[in-house]
Amino acid sequence: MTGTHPPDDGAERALVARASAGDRQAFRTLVERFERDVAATVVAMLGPGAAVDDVVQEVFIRFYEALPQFRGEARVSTYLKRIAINRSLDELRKRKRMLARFLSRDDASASVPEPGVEGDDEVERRERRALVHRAIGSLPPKHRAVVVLRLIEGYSTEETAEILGVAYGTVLSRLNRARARLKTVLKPYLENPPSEAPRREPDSEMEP
Amino acid sequence: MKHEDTEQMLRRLEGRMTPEEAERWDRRVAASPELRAQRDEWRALQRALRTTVREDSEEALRPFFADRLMRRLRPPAAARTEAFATSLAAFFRPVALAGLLIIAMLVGYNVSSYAYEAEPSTTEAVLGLPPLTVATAFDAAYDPAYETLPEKP
Repeated sequence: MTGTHPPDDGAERALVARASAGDRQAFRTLVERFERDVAATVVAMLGPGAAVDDVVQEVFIRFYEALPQFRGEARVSTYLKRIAINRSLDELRKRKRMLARFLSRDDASASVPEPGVEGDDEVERRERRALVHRAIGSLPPKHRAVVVLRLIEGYSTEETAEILGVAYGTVLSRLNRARARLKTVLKPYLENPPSEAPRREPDSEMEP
Repeated sequence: MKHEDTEQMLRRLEGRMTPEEAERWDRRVAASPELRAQRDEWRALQRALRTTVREDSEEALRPFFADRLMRRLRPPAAARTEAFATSLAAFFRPVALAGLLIIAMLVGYNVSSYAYEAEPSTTEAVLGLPPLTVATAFDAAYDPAYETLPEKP
């Protein structure tokens, strides 16, 4: 889930070792442990839609194929995030090529399933989600990756820089530029936040 | 906004500061309407993004994700190579054993049944070679049953 990073315990390393030795059940346990975490990253990068399931599968397949080379220097979650971001960037490049004909991530409202009968809250929620995905989709892919890891997933600036293979200052620079863009697109939402405040993130600060 | 301020702002929002750092930062924010506005903006932005992604990721994967994934997986390259080597070994071990056995039997047969009167070498005895030269081997009149060329009338 966003903002949470499972601890790299001995059990996790043991699971990786068993999976590397060909134990499929151990790999399945790893999948079940991290699938939602990886899905959150891919959803943040691509927006909701059928492609998310496929990309998450590809992430785990890449991880499985890379197991013999995985030496455990990074936590499994961090390693998976790196693959998820790279696969999502590949998917965005593919979409860009096909944009005119088929897919448009920017039109996030098309990806959100149309409900039957909705109450006002549900309509508001759906509109807010569409707006947020449109805002994220308006960012250049590299800026989007920074926003996803640093702002949504809650990785530190150093960790984000390491995962993306960029300098510390680059992360902050991209983050500030992304913020300006997000602020513009999300203006209607930020100026009129929902009447009922969303749940608070557990790792957020207490109000000073 | 300065990079350093952005970093401090996010660390404060995420509760990563020590109490002393937080106190210093809060004093600075309290004295600056601009920083206060930016703090509220970052907080609202982060909350909006996290809430949306959390809600959407809950229904992002189709049912039985792990089952479907495991069906797609092939063994890793190293395991495939090892499995191939193991199956090759399993196939060739009995073949090699049978080959060695046949060779031993042939050697035994050759040594025990060597019937040429001329003094054979060890190699000739083991391999069962007739006492031939290249010239006699290509001589059409040579008959191995007589061991030597038949006498010309």
